[in-house]
Amino acid sequence: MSLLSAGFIGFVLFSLAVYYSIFPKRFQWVWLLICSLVFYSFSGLDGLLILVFSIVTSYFGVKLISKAQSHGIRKAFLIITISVQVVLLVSFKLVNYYVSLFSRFLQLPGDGRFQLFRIAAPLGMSYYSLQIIGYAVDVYRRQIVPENSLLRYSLFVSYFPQITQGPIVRFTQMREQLFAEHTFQYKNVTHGAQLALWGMFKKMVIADRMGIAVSAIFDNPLCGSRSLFAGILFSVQLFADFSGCMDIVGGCSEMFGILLPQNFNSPFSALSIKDFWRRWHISLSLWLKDYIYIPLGGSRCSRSRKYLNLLITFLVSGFWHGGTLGYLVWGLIHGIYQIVEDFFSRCFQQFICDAKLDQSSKGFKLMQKGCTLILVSFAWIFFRGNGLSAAINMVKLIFTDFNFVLFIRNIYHVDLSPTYTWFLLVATAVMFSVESLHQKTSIRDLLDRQPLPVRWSVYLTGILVVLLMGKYGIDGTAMFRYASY
Amino acid sequence: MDLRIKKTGVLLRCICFLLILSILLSWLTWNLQEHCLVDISETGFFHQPRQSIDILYVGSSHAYAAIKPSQIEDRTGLHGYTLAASDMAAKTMYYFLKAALRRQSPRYVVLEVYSFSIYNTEWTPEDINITANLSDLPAMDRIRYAWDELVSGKKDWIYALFPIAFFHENWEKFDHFGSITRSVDHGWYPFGDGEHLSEPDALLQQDLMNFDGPVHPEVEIYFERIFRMLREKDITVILLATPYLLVDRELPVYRRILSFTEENDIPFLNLTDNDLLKELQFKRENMFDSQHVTSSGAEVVSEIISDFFIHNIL
Repeated sequence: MSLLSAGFIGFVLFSLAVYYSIFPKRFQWVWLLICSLVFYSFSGLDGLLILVFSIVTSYFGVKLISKAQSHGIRKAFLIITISVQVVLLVSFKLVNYYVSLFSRFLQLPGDGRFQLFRIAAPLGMSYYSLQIIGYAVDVYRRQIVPENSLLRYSLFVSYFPQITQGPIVRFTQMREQLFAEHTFQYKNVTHGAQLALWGMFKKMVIADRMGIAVSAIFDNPLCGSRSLFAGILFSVQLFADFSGCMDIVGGCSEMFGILLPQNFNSPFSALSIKDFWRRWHISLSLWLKDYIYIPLGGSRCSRSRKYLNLLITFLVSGFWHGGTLGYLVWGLIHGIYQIVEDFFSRCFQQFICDAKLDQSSKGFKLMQKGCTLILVSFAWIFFRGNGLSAAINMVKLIFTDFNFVLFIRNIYHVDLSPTYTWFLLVATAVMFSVESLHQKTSIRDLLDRQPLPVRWSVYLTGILVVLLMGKYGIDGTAMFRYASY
Repeated sequence: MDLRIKKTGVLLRCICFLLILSILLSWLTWNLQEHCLVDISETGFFHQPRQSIDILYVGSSHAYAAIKPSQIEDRTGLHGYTLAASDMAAKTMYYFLKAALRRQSPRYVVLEVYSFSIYNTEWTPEDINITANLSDLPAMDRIRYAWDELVSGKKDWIYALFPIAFFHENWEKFDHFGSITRSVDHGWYPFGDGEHLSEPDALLQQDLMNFDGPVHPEVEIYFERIFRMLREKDITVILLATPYLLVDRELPVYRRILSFTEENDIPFLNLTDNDLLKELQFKRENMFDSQHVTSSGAEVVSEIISDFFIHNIL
């Protein structure tokens, strides 16, 4: 069930009605579990069975970890628990791709269409697998006490607003909220609805419309300026798409009185690549940091080892996103960015001092933001590109056929009609303005202070803009990009 | 008690909000449609001066491809307009006419009969819905239409009230409708000079089986309603079949039309008759495809209609 379907809206409204009015408060979490499993079953029974298998094996695995006295045995149980999840994840997400790649490489019959698994990767598998692994490691590290109830643990793994695309939550973040008693709060529902509407605006009005232009350019890059422009457009599209989804998910969850952690924090304001990763897909970045980078030794080791750790961490990130060569190259590029940034940071600081540049000036910060955006956009070409060779071709064009005037002109030639281009520009400006304003003040508080006619005008305008300008219906809304990871 | 009042207040608020949203949405989408569609801009039917039309031609794409009102006006002096929409079924035709006759009092109405046989081709009522025609229906009695759809258990009612559910897709390029010039000449929409497909040959050689079968009940209902409405308004009706490749299954409808026109003394200009077409020297180049005539075909058809009016009606 798509998060943007009328069915999902109906499902949430019905769940809310029962949640607040019929179920005893003590058992509200049971209703959430039922809803989560019903929601998940819409994506297929195969997926549901795999989810249940993951939940049950990890539940008992973690029990064994917590009960084992010897460090060695605990570690062995941890490795087994993690291995089960990793094997499932790799089997369903990557094996078919690599088998097909090798069969093509070895020129085996079947034209690379050979499939080892006939079942598609279950919905949200990448997300709940990481959640389970994180939970197991936390129990192993004795940072948390494992959940005794299998049903409660099941809700933690399968909580329906966030199972499909995250954010990847920790048990400590959710335990209190999931199992607490929630009384109906008008504000929770209106604030949640506001956030979900904002997410729909970002996804349906900006991301999906921009996707038309992005696809057209990626399919036919023509020159270097168009290629880089496509990378930048894709950055905006991906942000609108993924952060829009997070807003819908967060908004739905908030209606149930459960707050999800923030997954984005104005990534386009990032002053460096390191800063970018503190602002983009925060829950994944923190997960990779806590469960990959730090266990590998983090930065408290030799410089070469630290750089190796960085490279491994970003390769794992690329692998998690899909494991195709494009994703791996994207991960590698980000690893290299971080290494270069770290390696030259002292020289850069020295240069700034020598040149007497004011780091706090707006101009300097704008330059930093611009450079970060271009570097990130360059890497997105591999992430989005139609295969590695197409991405390499676009990169070649950037270095051999780049024209700055054409780059600027591309803004008006994005394969959309002039009217729609202007509308998209205005909508994107609104999105960034609101995101920027949100950094300074709470927009929902600002709205709450307004009289009813003003508030309703804002809501009605939002709904009408989404309904009039959003992409949905006959051709359908484009799938959330991060739903495929 | 307080809690109950609070809950009732919230519920009332929600209802008010949804009501305002529904009204705004319906109003906005219909108005946007009027401004986005060329059909219903200055050259569109509903922008014609009131009571200015002498002949109203109604039908599907067969009609808007084949009938050139200005050419007929030049010959007959009768000012006409082709109010047509793709895949128009009998039911839509009824609502078209109903809306049109509120603004205009034509002396003659020419009904293109493909609309009656459409369910006897590959279509069913489920395939043909209002969405295919909404772009042409700005002044249709949509509330009545929606009610009819709702009562008959179809979901088209929502499209009738909130056409956005269909049209937003077409706003992908926003000025998409700028390219549609359905109203080049009083509702005539030329289909170009023809693709010269193989089917048009078949049109001139078609040999239909003696097929028997039912006329769709919905067609019967709206057929009767249309004629009753036109009779009440004392309008002369002429039935027209533009040249197109009939299929065997359409024959029952044609038989029904023939018997009806004979019983009621209604003229029926049947241009699907291949003998007649050969006599009129209709060529394959006059067909755009198996269903529609080309610009030159439209000139031939309009000439035939003009002659028919001059010799039989006026």
